[in-house]
Amino acid sequence: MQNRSGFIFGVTGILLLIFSIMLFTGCGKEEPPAAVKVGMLFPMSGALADKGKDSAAGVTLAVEEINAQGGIAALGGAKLELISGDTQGRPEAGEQETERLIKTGVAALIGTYQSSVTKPATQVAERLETPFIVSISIADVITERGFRYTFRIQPKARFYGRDQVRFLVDLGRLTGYVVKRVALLHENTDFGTAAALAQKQAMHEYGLELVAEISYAAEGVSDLSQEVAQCLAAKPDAILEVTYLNDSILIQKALVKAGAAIPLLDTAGGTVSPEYIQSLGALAEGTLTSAEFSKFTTGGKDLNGRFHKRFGVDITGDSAHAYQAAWVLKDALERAGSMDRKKLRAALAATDMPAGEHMILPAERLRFDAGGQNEFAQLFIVQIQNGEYIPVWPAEYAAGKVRLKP
Amino acid sequence: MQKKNPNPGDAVPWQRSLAVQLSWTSILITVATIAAVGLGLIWIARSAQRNSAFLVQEKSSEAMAQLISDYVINAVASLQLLEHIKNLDRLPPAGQKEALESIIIQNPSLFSQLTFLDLSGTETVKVSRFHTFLPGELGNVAAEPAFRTAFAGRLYVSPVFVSPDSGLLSLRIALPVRRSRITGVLTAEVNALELWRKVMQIRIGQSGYAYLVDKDGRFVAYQELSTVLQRFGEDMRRIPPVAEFILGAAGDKRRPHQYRGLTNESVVGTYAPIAGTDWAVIVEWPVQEALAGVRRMQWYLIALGALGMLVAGGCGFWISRRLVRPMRALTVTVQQMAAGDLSAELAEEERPDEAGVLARAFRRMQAELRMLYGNLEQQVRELRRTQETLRQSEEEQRQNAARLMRFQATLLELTEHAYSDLETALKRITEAAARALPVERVSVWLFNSDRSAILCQDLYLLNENRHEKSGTLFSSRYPRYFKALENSRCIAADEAHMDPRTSELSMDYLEPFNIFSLLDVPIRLQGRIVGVLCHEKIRDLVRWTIHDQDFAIAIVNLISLALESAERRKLEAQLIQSQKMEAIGTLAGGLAHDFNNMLAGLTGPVSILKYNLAVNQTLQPKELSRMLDMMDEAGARAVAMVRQLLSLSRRHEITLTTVDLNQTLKSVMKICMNTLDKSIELAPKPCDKKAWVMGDSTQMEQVLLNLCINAGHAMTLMRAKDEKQGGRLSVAIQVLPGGSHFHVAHPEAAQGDYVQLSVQDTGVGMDAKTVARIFDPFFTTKEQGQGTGLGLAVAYNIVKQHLGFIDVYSEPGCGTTVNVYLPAYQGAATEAGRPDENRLPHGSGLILVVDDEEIVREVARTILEKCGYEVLLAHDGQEGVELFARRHQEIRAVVLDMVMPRKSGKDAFIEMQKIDPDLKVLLASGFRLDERVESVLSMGVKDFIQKPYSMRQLVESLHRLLSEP
Repeated sequence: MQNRSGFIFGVTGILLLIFSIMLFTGCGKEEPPAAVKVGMLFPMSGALADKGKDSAAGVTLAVEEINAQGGIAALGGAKLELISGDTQGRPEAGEQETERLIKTGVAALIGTYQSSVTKPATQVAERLETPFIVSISIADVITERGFRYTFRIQPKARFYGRDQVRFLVDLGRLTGYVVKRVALLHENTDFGTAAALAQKQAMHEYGLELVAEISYAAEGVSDLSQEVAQCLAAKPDAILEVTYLNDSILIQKALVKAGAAIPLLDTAGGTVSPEYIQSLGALAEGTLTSAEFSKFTTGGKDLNGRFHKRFGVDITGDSAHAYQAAWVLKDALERAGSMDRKKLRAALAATDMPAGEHMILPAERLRFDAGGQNEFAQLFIVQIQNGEYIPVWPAEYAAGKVRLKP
Repeated sequence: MQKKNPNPGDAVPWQRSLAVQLSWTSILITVATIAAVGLGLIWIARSAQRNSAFLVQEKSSEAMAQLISDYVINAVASLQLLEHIKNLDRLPPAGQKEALESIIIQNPSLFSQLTFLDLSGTETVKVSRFHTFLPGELGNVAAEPAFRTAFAGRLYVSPVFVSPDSGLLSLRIALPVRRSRITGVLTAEVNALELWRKVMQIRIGQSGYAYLVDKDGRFVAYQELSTVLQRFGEDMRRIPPVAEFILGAAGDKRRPHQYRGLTNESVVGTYAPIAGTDWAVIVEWPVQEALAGVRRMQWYLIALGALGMLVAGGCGFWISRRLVRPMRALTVTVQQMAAGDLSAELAEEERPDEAGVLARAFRRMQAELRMLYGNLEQQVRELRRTQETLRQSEEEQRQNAARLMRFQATLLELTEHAYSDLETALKRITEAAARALPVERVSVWLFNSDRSAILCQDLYLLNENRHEKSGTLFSSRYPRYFKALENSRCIAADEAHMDPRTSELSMDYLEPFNIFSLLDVPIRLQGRIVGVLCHEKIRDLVRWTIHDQDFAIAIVNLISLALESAERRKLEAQLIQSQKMEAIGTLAGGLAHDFNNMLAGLTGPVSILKYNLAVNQTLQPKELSRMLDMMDEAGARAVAMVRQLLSLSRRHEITLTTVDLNQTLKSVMKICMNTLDKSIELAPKPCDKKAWVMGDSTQMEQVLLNLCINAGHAMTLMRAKDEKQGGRLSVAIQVLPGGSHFHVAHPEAAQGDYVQLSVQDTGVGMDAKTVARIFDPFFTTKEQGQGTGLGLAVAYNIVKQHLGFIDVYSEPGCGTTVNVYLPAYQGAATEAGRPDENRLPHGSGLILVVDDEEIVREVARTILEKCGYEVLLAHDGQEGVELFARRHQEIRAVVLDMVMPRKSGKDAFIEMQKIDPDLKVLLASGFRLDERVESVLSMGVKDFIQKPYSMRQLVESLHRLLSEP
């Protein structure tokens, strides 16, 4: 009898519990959906703070637009909530910040601009099984390590080297200036090393002669005239450089000082920053660089308008990739219908965004390969003409002609 | 087939039956066999499966080890080849760098870093995919094992590690660069990711997986990179194959193990060392999948077991039933025999087997037994018959004795009680006789006055326990029966229909009541038949015994006694009544005088008024009023007087109620005041408290009146002519408590209080001789025509009936005192006759009052309306009938006068009854309840009320009438 009454009490208790849970969940439906936390990890301090802020602005604009358009529909209109981290340009800080952001419960991360920081940061994210969308970081290896949680919007180094060498080869056809001898000048971290390897591989393929290869450590460097002199001493027809901002300015200054008139082609490094033009002014004129984005493309113009309105400056490739990264995340969240990181990873891996309103990159579509690399990245070469980055190559995106110094 | 076991004691519970036992046994054997074979099979299959799983794993792990080994060897070989081609040691540093770079560019997925070391261990050229080493970034690694091993001329392969530069799974190779001698050391960081991808392509079942451990049992690699990043370097020695690898490292001793694997599920695992390295690959295969076949087999086996159980059980049961059937058949026969049926058919006798032999043996035994049993049975039957005869006569005797006892008891009981009235006596007697005999109907019949028929006085129906009183048998119709009654002491007709004495009754009487036997005894009084007592048995014949007849005769004697006693009581009542009339007659002289006075009080004013009217042509209201008052008073007195006389003279049933003798005294004094000589001074002394006795109030008045009249006469008529007439008559009442002098003088009196009624006169008195005779009937000292001599005799009788006593004290010349003692009533008195006039029962509905007297009609209307009724008036029978015909549906009751012009009450009632057979009629009449009234009552009139009636009488009678169903 006691057992029976115990049983009845138990059942009654369970029913009450279920009822109260139903009551609570019923109330819960009235509340707005929880926001989706998104980690944003860029160098917000240190030498590369300006570059970091460009990227952050791209993400911010995208998130603002997404939230204004009703958030994530699949999550009941959940808003995206940005949580910012600062790599300070250092790999260790990047590692720590990644771990911190993941622990705050972010659904995914966007970062980090520097390949040397991206590598350890994505490694942490891989270990903690959190999707990491790399907006800008060029090193090939980032998407060659078999990681499952790393996705990269930016083309990898090999694409850069390949397109740069193609451009140099094409230059003879475009301007009559034939390039045979090429000198490499690059900073010595992942970025520089990977890009240089890609360039050397491409030069090897296209039969260009490597006349000199000068490497330097970009961090804290104050003078590169000696390295530039070494380069020029080899009498190259053109210089391929892989730089960050400060070193790119130093190099340009040194070249101008040495009176060199040969084409200088950068690898979407320091030269694509507005600061480069701001600090060099007319000295910047004629600098060539590969770029992933241009405000002169169809999609780019529209975006640049919004970006300019919001931040008062023109959009850069970094900003555009960061902007795109946020939209890729949004697209994946809609398809995952969940903040669960594994589901989100699967959705990201299945990303396939055709060019359009939310795929603003100059490419047919956006899709990741097995390693997480955006397969359809299109690169072009821009030249600073009258303080603007004018696309000059390839022909289908060209907004102007290449101008070489007399 | 008769399945029911004739002898339940021999029943075999089903669970103990041979069939069930055999079934169980065969089930047990089958299941045990299946289980044993099955378990053996499973064990074999399990080990076979495990072995085959092990083989698969072994193959997989070996293939993997081979692959890894191949990969490493391939990496080493290509490095050696490249180094050889490039002639690294002979190139200048710039050329060395270019050469190494080209190796990396050409094998980007294999090598991520190459370093050339000179013999001192200094890095001369270092090329990486991830970093460009500036001259200051090169160092000396002479102390490192890689260099030392290679420098010693051997190949060095490091464990797999995650490169801090790239996050790539890597391993380091160091090999010596030799021409004729060692000229340098080439180290390479080899990307193990590709290797691992290849390893993962080898599938182990659906869910098997592999991982690598190094020579210290530390976790090195797994297919999921996040797991590698989490667990890299974890000590895996708890895993049996890992432990085995570290301990033995010899390939031949490998055994399969079952344990909790990397993913924490139960797995079968083994390892394979990887040639060319000091690693091992561990292959784990979840048991769920590896041993799936065996599991399936287990389920099949269980199903097979269950099936086997069913089949074996069924077969066992069927076979054993077949075997047991002859036994069962024999058992049934033997049990039938045991139960006494020796003619039972023996089954299975024809069988050729043991059962047949047994059956034939039983057959012989059965024959023997049958013979023996037949003889025995005969003897027993005879014995039983004798016994039965004996038992019957004993039973008869016992019954007779019991019956006689019952008769005795009944007679005793009947004689012990004296019944006050005949009806009750007859009822008790018929009931007692019916129960004692017992018969269903017992009736008493008495001859009517002209002896032409007998009328049923009481019929008791035993089964329904009720009495009836109806039926007449005419002697002319049943001469033989009546003749038999005359001549017999008792008619005991066992078969009433056949008996010549009673067969006449057959059609008219016996048949309708289903009477079979009759025991009729004539009732005789003083030798003359006055009736008959009938005992009637229905639906059954009775042999009336002599005891029954004696009993019936005894009952008849009791009835005779009761009839005699009733006769005597009737005579006594008549005596009392006639004496009462005499007393009234005695009073009549004085009464007439008074009555004349009252009439004068009525006629006087009338003549005065007439005269005044004739003279004055008008009447003065004042004078009229005075005259009417006089008439009213005179009328009221006349009514009171008549009522008293009527109430005294009324013949009525004695009804015992509580009577306050003070009231009796008061009303008698009222009569005496009017009737006794005025020379007599009345001195009533009522008791100061209520003097309750249990008695009949009229009789009490009669006693006291008689005593007062005698006393009055003693002071007037009895005196000599010359003596002064008159005297003082004192009447006193007091209550004597128990234990007073009275009780001493009358020891036979009951305990408790008595009320003393003392009548004292100052008359002539009596001598003792006279006193001794005063209660004798017809003894009188008065002159002829002045008294009958009954007064005191009646008073004496009445007092005796009330359990009282009378004492007389008298001295000639001094007067007489008569003391009457009656038992005081102890209980709470119900003051009958003194009801509360204010609490009349009220009612409602329409009442029709039919009376030719205007006064009576109006009085009735006033009374009834006061009590809530609506009243309809009719002034004669004819009008009453017409009104009733119109409104009979509304009329609840009719108050009907008996004697009316145009149509009498009786005729009116007959006509009304035709309109509504259920009508309720209250008959009102100035006549007493005599035969004329009775005749109307017998027609269905519900009640009777004597006129003049009081408000209470009318309303209560009407209320009683309407309350009836």
